[in-house]
Amino acid sequence: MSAARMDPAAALEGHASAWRTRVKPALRVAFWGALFAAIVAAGALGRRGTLGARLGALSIVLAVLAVFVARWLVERRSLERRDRLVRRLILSEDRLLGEKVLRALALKERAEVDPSVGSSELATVHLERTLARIPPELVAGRGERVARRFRSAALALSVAGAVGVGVDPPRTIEGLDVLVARHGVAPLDMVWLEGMTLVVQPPPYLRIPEHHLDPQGAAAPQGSLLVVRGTPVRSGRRLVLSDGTREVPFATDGSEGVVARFPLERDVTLRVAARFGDVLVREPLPMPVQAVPDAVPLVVLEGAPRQVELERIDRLDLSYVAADDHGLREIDLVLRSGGREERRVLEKLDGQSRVEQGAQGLDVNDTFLRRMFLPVAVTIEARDNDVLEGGRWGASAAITIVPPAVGALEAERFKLLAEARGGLVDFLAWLVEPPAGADPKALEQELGPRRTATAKALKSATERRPGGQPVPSGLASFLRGQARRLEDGQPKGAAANARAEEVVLAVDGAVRALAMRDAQTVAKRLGDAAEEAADGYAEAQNPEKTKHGTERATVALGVLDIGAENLLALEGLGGDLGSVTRGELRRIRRAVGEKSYLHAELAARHLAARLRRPTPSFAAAGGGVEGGRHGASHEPSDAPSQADKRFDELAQELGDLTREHAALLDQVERELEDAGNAAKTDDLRREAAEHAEALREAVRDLPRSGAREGSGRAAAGLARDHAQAMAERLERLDLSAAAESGRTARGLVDEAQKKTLAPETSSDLTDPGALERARAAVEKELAWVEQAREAVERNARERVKNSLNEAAERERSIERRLGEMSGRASQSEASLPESALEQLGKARGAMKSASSELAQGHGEQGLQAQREAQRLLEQGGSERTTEDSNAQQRETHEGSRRGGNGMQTRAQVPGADDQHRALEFRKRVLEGLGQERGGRLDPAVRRYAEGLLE
Amino acid sequence: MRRLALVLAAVSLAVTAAASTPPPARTISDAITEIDLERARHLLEVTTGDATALALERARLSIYAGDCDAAQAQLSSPTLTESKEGASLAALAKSCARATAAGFVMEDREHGITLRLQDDADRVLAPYLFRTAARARDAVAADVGIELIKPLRIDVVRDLFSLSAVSGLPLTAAETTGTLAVARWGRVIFLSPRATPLGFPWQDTLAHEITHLVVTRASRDRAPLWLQEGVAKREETRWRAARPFDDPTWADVLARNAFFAGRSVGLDKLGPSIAMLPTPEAATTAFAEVSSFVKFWLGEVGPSALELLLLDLRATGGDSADPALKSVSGYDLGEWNALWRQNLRETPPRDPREEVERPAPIKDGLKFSRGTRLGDLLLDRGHAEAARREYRGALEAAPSEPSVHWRLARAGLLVGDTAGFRAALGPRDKLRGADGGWLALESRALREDGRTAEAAEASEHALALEPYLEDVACEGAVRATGGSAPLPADADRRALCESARTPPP
Repeated sequence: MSAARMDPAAALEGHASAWRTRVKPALRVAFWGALFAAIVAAGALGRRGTLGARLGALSIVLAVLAVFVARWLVERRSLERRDRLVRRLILSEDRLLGEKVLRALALKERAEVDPSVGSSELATVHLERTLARIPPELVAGRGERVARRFRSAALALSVAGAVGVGVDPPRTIEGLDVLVARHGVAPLDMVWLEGMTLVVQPPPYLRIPEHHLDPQGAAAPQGSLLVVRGTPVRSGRRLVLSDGTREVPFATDGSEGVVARFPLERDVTLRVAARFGDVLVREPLPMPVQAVPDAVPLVVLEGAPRQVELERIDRLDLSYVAADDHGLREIDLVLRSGGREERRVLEKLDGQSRVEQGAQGLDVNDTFLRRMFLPVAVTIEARDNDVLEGGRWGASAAITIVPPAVGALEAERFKLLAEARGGLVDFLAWLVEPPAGADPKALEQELGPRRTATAKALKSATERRPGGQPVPSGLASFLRGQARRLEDGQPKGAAANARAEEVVLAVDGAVRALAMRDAQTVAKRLGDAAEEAADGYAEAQNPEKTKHGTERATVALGVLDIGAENLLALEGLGGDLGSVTRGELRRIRRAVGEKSYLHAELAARHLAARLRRPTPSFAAAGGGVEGGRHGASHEPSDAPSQADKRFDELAQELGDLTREHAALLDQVERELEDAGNAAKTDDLRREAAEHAEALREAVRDLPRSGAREGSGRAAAGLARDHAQAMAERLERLDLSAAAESGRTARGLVDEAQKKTLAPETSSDLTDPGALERARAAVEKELAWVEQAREAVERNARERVKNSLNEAAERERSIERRLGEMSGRASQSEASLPESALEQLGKARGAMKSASSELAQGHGEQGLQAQREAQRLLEQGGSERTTEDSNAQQRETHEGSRRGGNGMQTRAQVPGADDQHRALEFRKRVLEGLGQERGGRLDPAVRRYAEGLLE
Repeated sequence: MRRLALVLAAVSLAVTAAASTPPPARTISDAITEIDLERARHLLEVTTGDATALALERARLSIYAGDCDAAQAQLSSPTLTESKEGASLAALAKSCARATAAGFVMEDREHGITLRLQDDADRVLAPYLFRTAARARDAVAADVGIELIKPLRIDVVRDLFSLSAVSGLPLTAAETTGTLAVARWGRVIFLSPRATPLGFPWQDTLAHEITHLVVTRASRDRAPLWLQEGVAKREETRWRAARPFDDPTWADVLARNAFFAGRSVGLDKLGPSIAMLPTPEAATTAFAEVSSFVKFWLGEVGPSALELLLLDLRATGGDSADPALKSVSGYDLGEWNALWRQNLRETPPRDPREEVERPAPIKDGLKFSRGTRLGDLLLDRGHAEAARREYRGALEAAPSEPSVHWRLARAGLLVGDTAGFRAALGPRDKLRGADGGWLALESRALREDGRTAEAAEASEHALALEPYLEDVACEGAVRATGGSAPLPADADRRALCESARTPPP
């Protein structure tokens, strides 16, 4: 009995085992099939590359795994407990039997814990019998059916997956590659292009042809275009060329290939890649390319860096060489001072030249330099032809020009003139209060030498160049005139020291007037320095620029300090403005001390505005209102000397007279020319043409020029040329020139005849008949020319007779007025220098002569004398004390240098007593004579040159 | 009786004023005009309303307080500068900020005076400025019956350019008429005596401007120009004792002469300011006329009428002062003008014998100027004896000119001719006016004679004219160019003397 009994647990395990045996293999197959299909699906979805797609793809695979894991857990749980096993394997197949088994199981379990239910053994037996009724095919059959379903599913999924892969296998790989990408780059590199080439196209301005590059590593000029070409391995991919940060898409090249152009701006490592959404799948091989930058032009300025003082140079010669690796486009001269900059284009180039060499002069009177108060850094800067960045500038080292301190020249000049004035005052003191107990006779003897020495000292002061600048020409002339007055001694009947007093006051007035003008000029320039300081402090208010701004302002304050000192030296207005400047500088520094750059800027701007309005601190004609000055003391209001004003009036009158005389001279010239032209009638012109033709015919047999120099044939050839020139001039009715050519031709014919008669070589031999015919013709035409000239002149004289009479009268009138002015200039307090008076005297003589000749109808002679008079007038005249022809010449020079039209039309010719200026002027004129060819100034220059040659 | 009248008037005006409450911005504006800046500040804190108007008042208050920086910032908004008033205020704030930035500020707490110096070199004058300002303010307040709220603000500027920048007075107008000081924006804006080569009566000028502030406060700036200037001219010397060369009749004489010569300007034709009249001569005549008129008017109605008139003007305002004038004195301006002119006509001319005794005028201007300049040049070169000769020549041409007497006396001292020095100074009554240098040397002579009180007065008088003239600053201690001389004992005077001899770098 017991042997026939079956253990219930074993019985149930047997059914479970039968189930597993059938279902588990099928389930495994189904799992792999599902996983395969899921991966293929995930690849297809993940290939889109977006985050959502990639998450979706991953979810598919995970879902399959989850399903199967869940299934396995459920299965295991179901088979672990007997009741569940019964329910899963038996109840679902045979409900009645299953319920019986379940009841039997329950009875057995209750009986084991509760004896009141019944015998445990009996319950066990009941269970065994019930289990025994379960037919073995029941569980096996069910297991077989389930396994069949799994196998079918596995087959279907495997087929689907295989189809997915089979259609385009790389898609799945790409998809899976994309799926596992990190930081946007897929881990598995793939080949995208075949037959790939890398070509570089350098920037056009470099003029380098395009060429292939080694993809394994190469260099190319910065700014080049890198062109990658190839044929896609697989179509339908979005191919790009990427350096890791920038991508350029490939575009079709019109056939089967694709092309991408990548601008090379820096060193890059390029890769061809396919873009899938956010993910790149790259080619395996990188293409490193080094970007070679366009070098900045190299500029070398000869002698730089160095520092020069403006006072010590007349001109700064700048020699430079500029070089660039590809080509130069422009070369500039750059001047920088403080916050100011001026660029002057020296050369505009076509970008082809790689090396340029040049030289440029910078004149000491350059406007920029003259206006600067801070050191000026002079550099040469060159721009290359890099069009990508608008050209790169290379700069040379700087030559720093240190300008003189603002007002230093003016202060030094004032000191010199004040010292000269002091000498006069000392002389006056000696006159007014001679040394006590001195012998009157000895004093009398000493007077002359003292007076001469004082006058000489005054004249010498006008010839000196304080600070390298001459005393203004007008003032110098005035001071020399005063020196002459002093030397002239005491007028009869005047007090012993009257003349000395007049001269002292005259000189004092002029010197003070100059000091006032200088103070105004200096103050205006200091205004610029104050503005620079204000700009510096404005900059300093920006915390990032505080250091630079304060440094800039500190330099400007230094300039103001020295400028104020120089202003103070100028006394009068200068002293006032200098005092104001010092006070304002203290105010600025107070603000700086409190780190209030805003206040420092405000104070500096106020100072700049004040200095640009260089008037006295208090100026009122009536002496002030508010709390008035009733009964207050008066200072003298009359100017102690009017000499400088009278001098200026005289200079003005002389200038007007000189211009009037020049106009008269022009008029006479024009009238004589017109009269001469009118006398050249058409009949004369026809006759002259006939004579010209006859002359040409007569010299036709002479040899042509070209024979050995110095030979008889050469002389004959030249004679032929001159005869033909005479013929041409005859046709133009230029009778004077025709006569001159004729005389030359005649001389040459004579020379040729001599050499023919006594030949030294064969070159001396010429046809004697031809020479004779030529000589006779030339002689004949010369005679005719002389006759014609006389007739023309006679005719012209008749025509211009009345006009010349009028001109003579006007010449006399001008001469009389000049006489009156010369009288004033020699006797009044507005005295001209000796040399000027002498020239004016000579000018009067020439005017008298001109007047006489013109009155007699001798136009040419009169004109000659007028020209002489004009030259002397120009030498003898003077500028006003407020004028400075040196400065005007400097400005004109500067104007013309900068392309301006700065024609000086009021240039004064310095007299001989102003040796320094005369020498300078002479040098300039002689230089000019070598260059000048005609033009408006030609007659004036010729007149002066004639004077120089005297 | 006078007090009772004042009280009654005050009560009636207060009742009238209370009947019509002004708008808030107007109240603030009035407080600023009256230089009651604390009250204005408080009102601005508690008042709401028209934001633009209040912002403008805030900026105006800053300018009155001398804080032009703040005013400039407050006026930076385009909405404020759209209006004419705003634009003009902004321009003033800008120029004022530039001229006053980092000014040197000194305070006299005891007297309640704040001094702002554009040029700190003027600090040596500060003790004298403080003393003068305090005395003048108290004297004017006593005369006008109203006190200025402390502190009294004084800006000392270095030149007319800065005076124009700080005050807003057009520079050309200031230059034409020679304006020395302006009372504007609640403070005195005052030209440093350093700016004028010959100095100027700066103490009287300061008193004059302080009077303007007091009258402005008393009348809420409603006093007509003739009254403002007339009272200021009256008060400019009343704060101090009489001095030599003070001429109490100058205004009447000048006004009378102008009246008969047809050069009269007219009380009602003064324009916006005497400083803006076309010529300095017109300005001088105008000052004489308003001075003479106010003197006449106060002589007729009594000094208390001024206080009443200002009170009336303050409370009632209006375009014309006639109602207030009529209410206080019974006649309007036209009627008073006629009475004054009648009085001028009837005033007998000066005794012809006076002409003989009066100091001689300049006989030969050219000789005077030549002699003076030559003497100066000679003296500068150390030729004092020769300079004396030239000065003597100048003196012949201008025997009553104190500046020549001073020069001659000074040269005498330099050559050691004491007798010549005293002779050159000459008697005071033979001089045609006051001169700082001459007074300084007279003070020295008096001191040497043991007449210390008179010497101190002369020295003070000299200081009131040309404080920076070395002889004045150093109390007549004359020295040759580059030489040395003793310093004054008084510390303030010593500082002034040292500054005159060696200007600060």
